[in-house]
Amino acid sequence: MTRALDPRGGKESRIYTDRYTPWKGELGERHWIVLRAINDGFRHNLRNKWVKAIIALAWVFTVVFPLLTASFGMNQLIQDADSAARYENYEEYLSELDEYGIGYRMVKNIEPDSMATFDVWVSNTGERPDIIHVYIADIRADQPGWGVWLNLPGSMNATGELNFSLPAGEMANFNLSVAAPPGLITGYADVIIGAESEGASSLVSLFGGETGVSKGLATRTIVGQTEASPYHFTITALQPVGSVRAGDSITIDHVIENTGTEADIYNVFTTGLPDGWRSSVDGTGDGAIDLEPGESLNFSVTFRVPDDSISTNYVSVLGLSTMDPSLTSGSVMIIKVTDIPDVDLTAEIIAGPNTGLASSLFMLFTLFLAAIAGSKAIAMDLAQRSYTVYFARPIGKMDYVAIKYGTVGATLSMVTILPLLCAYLGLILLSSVGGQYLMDHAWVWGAIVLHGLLIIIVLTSLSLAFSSLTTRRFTAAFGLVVAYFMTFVMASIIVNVFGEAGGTAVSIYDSVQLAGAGIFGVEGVDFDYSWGYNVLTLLSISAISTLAVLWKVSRTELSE
Amino acid sequence: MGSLITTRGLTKRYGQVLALSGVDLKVPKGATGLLGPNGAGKSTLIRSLIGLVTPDSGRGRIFGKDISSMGLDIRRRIGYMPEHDCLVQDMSAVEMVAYAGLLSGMSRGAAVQRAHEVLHFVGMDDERYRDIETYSSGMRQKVNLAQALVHDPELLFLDEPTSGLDPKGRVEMLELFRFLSHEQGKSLLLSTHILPDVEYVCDNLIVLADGKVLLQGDIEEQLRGETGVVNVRIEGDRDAFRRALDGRGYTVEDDGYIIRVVRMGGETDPEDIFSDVVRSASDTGVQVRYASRTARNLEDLFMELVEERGEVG
Repeated sequence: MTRALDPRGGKESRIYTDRYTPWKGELGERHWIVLRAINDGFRHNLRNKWVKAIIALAWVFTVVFPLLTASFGMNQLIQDADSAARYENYEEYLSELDEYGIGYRMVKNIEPDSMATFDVWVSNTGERPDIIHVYIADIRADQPGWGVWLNLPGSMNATGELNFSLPAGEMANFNLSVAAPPGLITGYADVIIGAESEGASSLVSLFGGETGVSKGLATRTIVGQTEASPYHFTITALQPVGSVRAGDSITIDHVIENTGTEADIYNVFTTGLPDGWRSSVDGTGDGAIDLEPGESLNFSVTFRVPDDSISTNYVSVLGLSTMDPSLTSGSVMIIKVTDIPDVDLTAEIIAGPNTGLASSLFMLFTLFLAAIAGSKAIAMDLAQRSYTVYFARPIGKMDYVAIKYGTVGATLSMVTILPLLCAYLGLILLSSVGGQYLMDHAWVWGAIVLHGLLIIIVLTSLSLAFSSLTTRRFTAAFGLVVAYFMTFVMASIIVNVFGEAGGTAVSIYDSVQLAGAGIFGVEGVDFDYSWGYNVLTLLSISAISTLAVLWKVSRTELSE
Repeated sequence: MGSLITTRGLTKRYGQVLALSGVDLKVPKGATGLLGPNGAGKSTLIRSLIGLVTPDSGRGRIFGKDISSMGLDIRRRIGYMPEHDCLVQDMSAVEMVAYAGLLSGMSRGAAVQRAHEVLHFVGMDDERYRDIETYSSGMRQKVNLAQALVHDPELLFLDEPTSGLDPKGRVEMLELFRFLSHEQGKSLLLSTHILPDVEYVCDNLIVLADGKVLLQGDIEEQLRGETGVVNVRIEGDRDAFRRALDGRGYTVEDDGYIIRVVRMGGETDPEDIFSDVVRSASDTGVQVRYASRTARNLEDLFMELVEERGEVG
């Protein structure tokens, strides 16, 4: 037979027939094919520059930025709690001062018919500028007729209160004057200076010559005791405010100093411990501290906090003088137990104003990613007829749909489940709540996955449904975005115009938000409405969309 | 030798158009050409066999397995090179072929390695890393072939594989097919309307027209009966020589240079024609300078078949 052509006789052909090697490997089963195809499609999606850009932005806004702000917010939260707790427990604090006789930081002995002037400093130890209101909180005297007022140094204006506008970390000076009643031979007056922060978020410290930790400063003015006692000492906590996780311990260093003129022996112990708390004093040898005049000793006190402790607590270290049994001194510490309540931490992640699964920004990223990755998934196969190549393989149409769902779903997980899990873990690490918190709140991990899956399922289904109805990816993407915002507008009209809270059920966005709030059990949204309907909406949208995809794919035949 | 593909009464209709009309086939192993004019039903037949379309009636078996119930098993062992460009445009050739390997059941590592091998085989070098949307038609067809070959199938369905290719690309493609069939022992079903392609690559032939099988069998056998023609060049009295051959029952066509001697009606041993040519030359005193037997090619056969049905292209 004559050859119709002679391929060897013409131009040089670039073919490598000697390079063909038969393949001897085994071919996997269908489920492996589907899983591998999902993995490959997912990796292919991640190479798309727009997908990469959206994922990067999503991580910045849903992980990095919230972690930074949440970290700051948590520190602030702790400070606020401290301040609030102190304020609320102010009276208790004062009673403690009376009960243990400690905290009389400033004592002055004056002659009859004379006046004592206390030099006092107020400091803004917070992180924000603040206006601090200083006032005379309490006067207790054994005789009436004492004169008490405040004034600025060098000023003759006497007043009962002063206001100081202080930048963070700054301090200001003022005087407390206490005048004895005319003719009083012996007696005393206890005057307590109070202070309030206008911002209610800054820690205010008042002190007068000695380091103080209180929000109020106690003074005692004594008339008639002209000879000072030779025995006097102070105990100072070096870190008077601390925080500890429930179940852990905290150690606070102290200094005891003999400020008298004679040697003395002191016994130191803790007092005022809440139920279940234990303490130990280290660095005092056999317990008795023998100090010469002017001598000081460092020691530490460790407090062990029970697992169920949750609140801010005051604890005291008290010292007793052996030589003068009536002489006492001590320190008061504020210890915040940092077991953040569940609702606070989850709300910070989930229902915060601009963070978490329910935030509008977060949903926008997920929507746009679905518009890019989901809308092209089937439309491009239809436009390019690529499914011809796929269906000539050992996969069925259900496998094809599963591959598309898996690929788009895995891609969406990059801006839903994964960043949220990372954000939550990051928040836990930053808040120092520790491993026990992780164990106690394991349900949050499941809630994140559940809510993330809900979002992934609805947006994957919807984007694939639009994708299966057209051969133009942009048309599919446009349809998805329009459907998303259209339902939102419709829900807004129903809720705001007709006053029907149930209208939120027609909105994808609102349904996702409310379902998330329901799953996490947080009060982060404005609607008083059963979130079960919203879950039903999302599942219905997913089911209808999936049926549309299956219908379209099942009837796809190559008829050209 | 058992048939690789068998069909019985395979019928497929698209609306008013009958694409396949009771097709009965027996395709043996080896390279088989599926010939037919445009719209004959070649693509529909292939797509029906591999499960891309569902026949309205009839049955078919590939590797002895029923195409309607064991499609997945069949598709593990076949490769399909579709007629149209069906490649994913934003993938590189390596990604596309590797993905095809994954869908055939290969592991990712094996699929990537194998993708490089087959792309190298079809002549795709560094360009294999570029996105497919930047490729020429010839390069796309090579990738198309590579994706069909990636899992080393036993049977290849090639649907119009050389359409749209330039002459050089067509030659390369046909050479690959011939190598796969003759050197690697793969079976091919080559659908085309380009007769020389079939003639070069295939051993067997199916002619399809209007959804019906007009002819099927071994190509050599089909052309064996078409050898009763001898071309002669002479020196001397051409008219006398023609009359002498007429007298011996031949039809003689003279273009002034070559005299075409045709024995009409049935098979004739070429040696008998040569003897009659020599005797006629001797009788008329002319000198035979050249005599050669000519064979009718596939085109002749195809045109005869189609014209018999009143079907022209």
